[in-house]
Amino acid sequence: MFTLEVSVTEKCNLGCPYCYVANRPTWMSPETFDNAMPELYNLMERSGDTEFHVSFFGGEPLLNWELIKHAVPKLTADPKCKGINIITNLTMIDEEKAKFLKEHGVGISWSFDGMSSNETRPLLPLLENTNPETGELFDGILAMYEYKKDIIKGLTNGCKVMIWPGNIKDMTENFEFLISWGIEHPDFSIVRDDVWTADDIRVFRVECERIADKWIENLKAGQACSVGFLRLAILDMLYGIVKGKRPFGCFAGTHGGVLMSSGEFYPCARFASKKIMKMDPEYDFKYYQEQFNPYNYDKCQGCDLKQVCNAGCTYSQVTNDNKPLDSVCELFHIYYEQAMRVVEECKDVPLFQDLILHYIQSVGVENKGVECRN
Amino acid sequence: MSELKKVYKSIVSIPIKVEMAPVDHISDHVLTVDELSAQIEEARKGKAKVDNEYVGYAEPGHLFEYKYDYVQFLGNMQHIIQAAKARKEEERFKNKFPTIIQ
Repeated sequence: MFTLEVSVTEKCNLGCPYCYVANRPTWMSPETFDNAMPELYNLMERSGDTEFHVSFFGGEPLLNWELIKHAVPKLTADPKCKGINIITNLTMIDEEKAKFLKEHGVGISWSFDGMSSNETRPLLPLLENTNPETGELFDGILAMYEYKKDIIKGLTNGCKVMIWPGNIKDMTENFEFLISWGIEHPDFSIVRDDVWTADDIRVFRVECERIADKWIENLKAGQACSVGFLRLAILDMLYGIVKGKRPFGCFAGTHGGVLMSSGEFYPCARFASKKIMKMDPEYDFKYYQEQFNPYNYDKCQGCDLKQVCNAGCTYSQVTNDNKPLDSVCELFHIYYEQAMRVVEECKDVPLFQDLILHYIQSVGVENKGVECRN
Repeated sequence: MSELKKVYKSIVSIPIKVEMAPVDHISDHVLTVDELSAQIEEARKGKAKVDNEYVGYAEPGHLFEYKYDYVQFLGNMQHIIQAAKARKEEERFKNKFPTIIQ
């Protein structure tokens, strides 16, 4: 499956400190999108994929709603397109957009940082960040979400919380806060850049154990909920051991790319931000599939997570002499250990058993025979 | 003197509309729970390589000692799957707490 990110704009109405996308006024036009589709098929063929999945991305993609409304019907009519998703802060959602997204089966990946959002997602003084009834700037992003809570909750009960050194100490409190909002399954996606010091990692270990404790406590109390990175680690371990892990870490440059508003393709928006590894006719997928295959890293050969871990972010590896970052390896080790502990401690909790079965039934892993390594 | 109200500028204009049918997110080759369960058993019998011993890499080394018991993990997962399957479909949590998991 080829993953296509469509960066419809690099502009965003928020100013999150961990975001790597330059907040530039670039806007994809419908013509650029249409003209890029033949090249998408070309790239898919070269990568060995026959189907694709689309994620609208930015900046804040809802800022270029015109493009999304143009592109989504074309994609839904394309038999090779197996799914559409939008990675959005949802601050510009309204009834009309929500209706459109639901009707077209567009998945929502809500980028929301929970109770620490007022600090981690400062509002820029823009019209988009004002209360339409008063014309005044909202008093922080939480007030903005409160205003649109019903629409948002009608769309999703999950969200993607970025975890970075600035907010690790709030992980557990954020988890509780999000549950109180009815968001029972936050993703908690770890920033996999070279931003983690040894001290940060020590704090992460303590906090990871604390959030795992909270998840266990909630499950035992009958609260259906999950912590995204621990849930994912459980599934990665299960399928990694039983089926063999996928032969690539990230889709970027191996089985996917980003279409920028300029009409150029790059492995992902991070590469695009530096204008490196542009996917031109010379771009060799096979080379990158081999280079960034988690089985092939020398560093991973003796690692006890080799079978289950997918080695992190390709861009970070490119900028780290083509090998996984030490700090990110450490984070993976910490949370895989905690995921294993959750399984051990909750194996007899009926709610957890049901959740696991539900994940397995929902995840849609391809069955092409046992691919275990001997 | 009247107070001048601050007017905020938009960073984009938001127009247009179009409509169409939803897309199906379906695969023909999805691994079933029973198939997975059978394959866990194969893995536990040694058809998959199972590491249960810490193997660190020398340089630059880890901050902590980690321990992963994959054999125990597989046993736990099999136990969990079988216990959940033994309950009636209508009694499972998703019927009590309708939910979307992304």
